[in-house]
Amino acid sequence: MDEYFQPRSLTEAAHWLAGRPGRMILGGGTSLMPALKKRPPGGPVDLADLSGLKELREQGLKENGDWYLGAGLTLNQLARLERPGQENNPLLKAAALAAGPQIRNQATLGGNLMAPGNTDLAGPLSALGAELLIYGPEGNRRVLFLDFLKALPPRAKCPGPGCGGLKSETCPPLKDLMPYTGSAGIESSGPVAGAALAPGEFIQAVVVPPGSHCWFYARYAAREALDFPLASVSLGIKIKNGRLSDLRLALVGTEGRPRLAETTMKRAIGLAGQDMAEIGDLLKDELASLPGRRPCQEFRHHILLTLAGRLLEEREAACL
Amino acid sequence: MSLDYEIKFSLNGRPAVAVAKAKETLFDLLGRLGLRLRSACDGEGFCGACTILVDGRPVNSCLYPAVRADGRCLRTIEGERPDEENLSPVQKAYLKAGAVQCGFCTPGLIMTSTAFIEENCGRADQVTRREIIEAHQGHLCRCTGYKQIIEAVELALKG
Repeated sequence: MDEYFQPRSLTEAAHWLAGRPGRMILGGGTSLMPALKKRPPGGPVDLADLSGLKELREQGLKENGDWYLGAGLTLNQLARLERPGQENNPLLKAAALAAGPQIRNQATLGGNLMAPGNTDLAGPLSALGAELLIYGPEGNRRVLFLDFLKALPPRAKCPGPGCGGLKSETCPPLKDLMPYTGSAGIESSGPVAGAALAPGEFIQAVVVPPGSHCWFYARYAAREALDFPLASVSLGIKIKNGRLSDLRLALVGTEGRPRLAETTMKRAIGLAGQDMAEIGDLLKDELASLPGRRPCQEFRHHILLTLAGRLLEEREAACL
Repeated sequence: MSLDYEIKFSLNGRPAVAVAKAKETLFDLLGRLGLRLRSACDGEGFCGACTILVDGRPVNSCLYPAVRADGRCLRTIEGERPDEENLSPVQKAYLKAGAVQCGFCTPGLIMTSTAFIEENCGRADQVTRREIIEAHQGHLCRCTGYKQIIEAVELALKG
């Protein structure tokens, strides 16, 4: 028998989820509901609706400067958050551009991170150095978002319509949906031990560390709305005494998950303000050195370099 | 098989009680209750044709878990007509602007436009065309090219 459960506390949710394999979390439902419809007949579907838990809807700055964002915040709630001095925060901008207005009214931050093939918020969170606050039967723990991504199993590819086509080449395969969406328990045997969800665990919140970067975000999708981005760039710049003291640069589109452009981030340190366009050249070198032959790789790299170039131009007006 | 969950909600201003299944969508539940919404919908949230208002906000009913409607206020296209003889101001504006052709997208668009106009009623003269476009980006219309739809919303905003 399919079951729907509304836990009254985080602890109750964690124990219920751990109680039987295959139990799933119902976030906004925008990925899960259509997937359940297409699911071949099989065992029961047990859903835990966490929308009633206040810890998942809270947001705000903590005493240490961390920015706490409950996993149950909808994308529209995220998009409308005001954070003085962070008007270009890539997470808020990406949330405002994700999907379409109706979906943003329903889809949640946590659900967005768990849905297979989703490329909206992962890039910005990687650039921001965000952590996930994960709650489980043993309490909560924090995991670096990038480590969490690495611990996810590889996602299946579906035939794409080609470069610049209407859909992202990564589509949500039904067979992969269950572990992503719920708490079936991906064993912590990935590249980063302990970064994956254990049985009963779920994302409680995203925690963004304090920082004084000047942020920018740009994305490319076949249409302005309703499509996942084929590529996106999240750029954070910190200037001290007229020189670049820190660079955060996350790319979506080079592979199945976001990539930090680590070589560029290292080599750009110390660049003078007027030489900041050189970041584009460094990025070009880094992209050229990437292994693998992803479909449309040349096209994606071209888009990434174009987006990065535009952001660096914006930076001249906004950052210095 | 699924357990049954009794839910109580307001449907177009009237109290309603229904039995929902765990993985049922609001689109399917409202269909069982006799509301047509759209005879067809892509079921994945891309077309926007099945858009309804939940607590005043547009959502795709094909993606919305029915059980979660418990305690909420639902508005559908069926409730927008004040009586048999009349149309709502938004519906009239759509007709006047020529924003209705095949009609597939119209019910959902009317609901989104209604929510948008109500949300902006205090600043109708300041609303930009860009805001109208962004608010309606969750809908696909293959007939009108969207121009008439935008004009209809502008007309409705003017009252």
